[in-house]
Amino acid sequence: MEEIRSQATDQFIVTWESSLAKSDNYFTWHETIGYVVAKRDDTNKRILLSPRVPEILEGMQCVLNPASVGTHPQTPDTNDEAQKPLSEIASSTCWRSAHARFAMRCQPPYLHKFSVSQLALEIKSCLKERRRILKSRLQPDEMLFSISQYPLLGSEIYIDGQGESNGPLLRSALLTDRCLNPILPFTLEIGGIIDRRGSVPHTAVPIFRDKETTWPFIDTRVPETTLDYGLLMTPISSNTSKDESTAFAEATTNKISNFLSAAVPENALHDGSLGQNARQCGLDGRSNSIMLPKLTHPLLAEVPSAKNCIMLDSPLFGIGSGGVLRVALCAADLDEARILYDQLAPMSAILTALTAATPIIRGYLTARDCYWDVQCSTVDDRSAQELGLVPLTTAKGTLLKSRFGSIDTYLGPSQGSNDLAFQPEFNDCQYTYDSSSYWKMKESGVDHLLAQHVAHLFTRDIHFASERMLKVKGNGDSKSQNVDGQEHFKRFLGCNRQNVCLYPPNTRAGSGWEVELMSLEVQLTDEENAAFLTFVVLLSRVIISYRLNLYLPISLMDQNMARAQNINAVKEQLFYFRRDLFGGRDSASASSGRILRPGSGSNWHTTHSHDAGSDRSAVRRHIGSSSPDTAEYIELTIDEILNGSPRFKVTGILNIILTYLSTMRLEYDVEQELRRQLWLVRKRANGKLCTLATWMRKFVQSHPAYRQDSVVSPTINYDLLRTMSDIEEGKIAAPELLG
Amino acid sequence: MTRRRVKITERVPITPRKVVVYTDNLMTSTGVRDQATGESARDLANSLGDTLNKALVISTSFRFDPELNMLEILDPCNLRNNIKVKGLKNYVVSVKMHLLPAAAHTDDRPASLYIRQAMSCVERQLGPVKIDELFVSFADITNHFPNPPDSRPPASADHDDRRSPAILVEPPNSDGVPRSAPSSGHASSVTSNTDLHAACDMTRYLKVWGALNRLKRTGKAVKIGVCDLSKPQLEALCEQSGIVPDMLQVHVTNDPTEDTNPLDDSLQKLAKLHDITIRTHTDSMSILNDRTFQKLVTDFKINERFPTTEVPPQGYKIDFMRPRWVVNYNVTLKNRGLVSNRGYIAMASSDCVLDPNRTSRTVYAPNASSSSSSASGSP
Repeated sequence: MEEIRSQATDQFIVTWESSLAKSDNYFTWHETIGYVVAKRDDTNKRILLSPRVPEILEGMQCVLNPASVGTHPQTPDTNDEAQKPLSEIASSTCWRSAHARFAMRCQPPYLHKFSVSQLALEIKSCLKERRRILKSRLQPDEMLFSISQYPLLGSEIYIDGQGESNGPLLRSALLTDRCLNPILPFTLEIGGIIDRRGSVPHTAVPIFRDKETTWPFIDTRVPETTLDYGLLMTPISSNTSKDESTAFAEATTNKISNFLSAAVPENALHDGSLGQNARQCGLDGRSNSIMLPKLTHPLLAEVPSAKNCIMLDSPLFGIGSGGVLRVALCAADLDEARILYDQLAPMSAILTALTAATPIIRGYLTARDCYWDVQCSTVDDRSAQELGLVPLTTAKGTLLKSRFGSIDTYLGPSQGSNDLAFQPEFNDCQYTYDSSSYWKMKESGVDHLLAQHVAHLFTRDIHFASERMLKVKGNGDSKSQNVDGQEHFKRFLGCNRQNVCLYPPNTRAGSGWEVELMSLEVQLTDEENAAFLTFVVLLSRVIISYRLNLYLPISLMDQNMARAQNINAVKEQLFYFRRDLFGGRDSASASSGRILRPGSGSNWHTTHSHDAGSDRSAVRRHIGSSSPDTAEYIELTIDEILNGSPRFKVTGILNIILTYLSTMRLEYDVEQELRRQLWLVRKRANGKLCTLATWMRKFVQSHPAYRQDSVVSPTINYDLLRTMSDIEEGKIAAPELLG
Repeated sequence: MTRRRVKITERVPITPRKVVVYTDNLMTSTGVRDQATGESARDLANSLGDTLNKALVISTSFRFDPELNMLEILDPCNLRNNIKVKGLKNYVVSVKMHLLPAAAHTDDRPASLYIRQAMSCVERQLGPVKIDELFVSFADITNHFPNPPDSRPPASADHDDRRSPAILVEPPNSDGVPRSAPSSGHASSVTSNTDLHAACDMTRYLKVWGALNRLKRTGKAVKIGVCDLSKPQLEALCEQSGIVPDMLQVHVTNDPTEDTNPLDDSLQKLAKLHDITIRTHTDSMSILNDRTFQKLVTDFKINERFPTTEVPPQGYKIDFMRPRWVVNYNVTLKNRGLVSNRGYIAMASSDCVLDPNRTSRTVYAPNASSSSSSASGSP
């Protein structure tokens, strides 16, 4: 493993060096959208997942070659086809199977060359055309959904030809091996997660408490004995320093107390059930999906339980089993990529809340609207040492976040930049990095923050290595051999998935440094997906044009991410946000470019973070100062963040985008269409249109078969998905969702 | 600093002194916050205020051109470009020229000399660039708003606050309101055939339009366009000048309650017929009025700092400065979708007007002033 890591470091250094002199003249981008295929059974009023995706893709001549995993859209220059309208080249879309047999991904064949008119006029029709092509390959009783999770996955019956659970591949009591696409990289990755962790990673999702919900709710589907598997049962070695462990427990408890008070509603967790251990596990901000291993840790006397939580027991719940919506933006050079990476990260929580679409998991209404934390927790492969449950002996250090999660550090500006927006104190969370690769990079001239970021990626282990990869040997050779490929480095990148990801230039495709935004939830209709794609792409243009300063300390960003997933977060939650987006970039605009911390060093953080139970005006207290005019960060609703607030002198991201559009002096048709798309985002933000999660929740709660017990029965699921399908096809109007 | 004494004849009251203010690159300045209000008049007023503050109060940044009798006030930290990326090219320079009400001469026609003047100022600011898009907007034709002019949006309240009662020289509704009330693509205020005829009479603008076309012919501008014309006006302009614009700019609102701005179908058809692309803008009805400018002049003591030495002819006096034109320029990187530079240039100058001690002056605007035009003996 260390050898691979060392080679990966070399590969990164080579890539970094070769990218220094290059800059792309065009801005290109691409999106990844995921779909789920389901099968309708009208006789029994059921809709189950259809495991036919590999077959469908085979029919489309898209047989997945394991070596082609991680292929990348080509650059448009190389092919005339790219000049055609997007809807015409939709047929050559790269379709890919996902980890689950019922899910798939698609990417455009070529990177989109940026043009505003393409965003306005072509993306939507391209998405529609792709959907049409896919649907034409389905059987008459099959349905295609762009949803982030099939609501009944893991319930009693959820897939066609379900089979027996506890199969050898998934080792799950909830999911049968029928779900898994039996292709080597996928099975190895799933198996790798389980093996590395030492047990099946359990995820607890707080259930939504309705009038008739059994309370306390106990999930009987996952037998508690299975929680005793593996490393978590490893007895603490006798020579452990008690002081060390105590200090750790205290430190972690203190650190997360704010998260928990802010993010977990009182009704979500049974009083007193949230033990210290659970808090430790929720340390990374994943306080809403807490792993609850049964422990006999001497320091953790209060054994946590799975009460009031729905348990998930397979990495497949989080990886490759649902729809996705990701946007990758190709920056001109590394400097621009670093700006985009840093500035999009604080926006990711806002976008998560805006696109919330997963209120139902395993057939239950949950106390969450989003899937992000569940996804991060289910693929958590940290060992007991990395989790901090047992003393470190072989692991590189304690890792506070799962390999999927929010970012740990900002990249900051590159050396020599006169950008003053970044302050080292923004990286205010603890993180671990691989010191040997860090120093190797430093010696090669990579600056501290970038080296730290990459070395942080190297703290994770890759789950498998192919023979072909292992043949790449030796430092001298590897440099020459790997100029065209970054296999090892890319594998480490694949092991880490943050809310924003930085990818090195794809030498084969010829693209530049890429920043991918991962935190969007896929929307039901192509119109919505196109609107959010447009919003993100325009936002990236505005960030660079206006040199926006959206920096938030990582701890506040994590709190935002936790709040974003609460029920109806768009309307009900407040998010930390920078008040003045234009300040601090340079000396001319440095009016508020520093963190104001009046009084003691920490009161800016602690005194303002408790919002649960306090009245609204108290919640409105601003970080840093009592005056909203001068505070660095304030707590705002999403409406205020996007649409502006004269009261707090906040400009509003959408207003800035509109100003940008008028500066571009666009053609009338293009501008009208863009405004229509942004209008959807605007209405979502101000609550005039609801999120898909809210719509689904309302649908279930008003369904005649719903017994107010949080259970989404197959019949409700059938009606829900039928209605959603009709809305997507335009047969039913949903003014509360789409306007 | 020597200034040439300009000979002022009684026949043509010419402008004795010009003041040009160049703003900073607004993509980088602190004033960028105001842009997002969507009120370009407020944006411009604040930008000019910022620039004057930086150029005259915080530091000293101006130059005087005795040849042109022009005082130029520049932002001291004027950045050409805010996009720090290596090796980028393909800039698109888009310039929109607003000819303000005071740009009209006594013959009631906007003076084409302002076009040349503005282009030379753009060149001074951006360097010798080819202008890819050049729009001209006539203040007295931009009746593009569905709302009546006196129902101002609340966002302009601050803008109004800037005005000092001491310098109120015009009745409130005369700011940029067309005398002939022409119709537009959005709302037609034309009630009679006479009005329609007057509204469609584009002869007043032919000189300026011809000057723009000359810029196109000589290659200084690639595409030329006009703003906020209605269908009959566009037809009349094409017919009377024989020059078809490449672009027509129409106003769209930034009102969050409206997602779209409907456009007259017949106008769209006409534009398609003549291969005219319809573009959009969100500029305010009156981008810079006399009062706003006077307030800036008073606040920053421009007259006191730069006292004029011209001597008016007998019976006349040098009036206060009135803004004549405003140029808004954008430099964009189309293939990267970035805006690298954006700013304003505003020019104001003084008129010689009849001394009120000799003749009572009731209305200031020369195009509406019978006294000044009769006294100057208009051609």
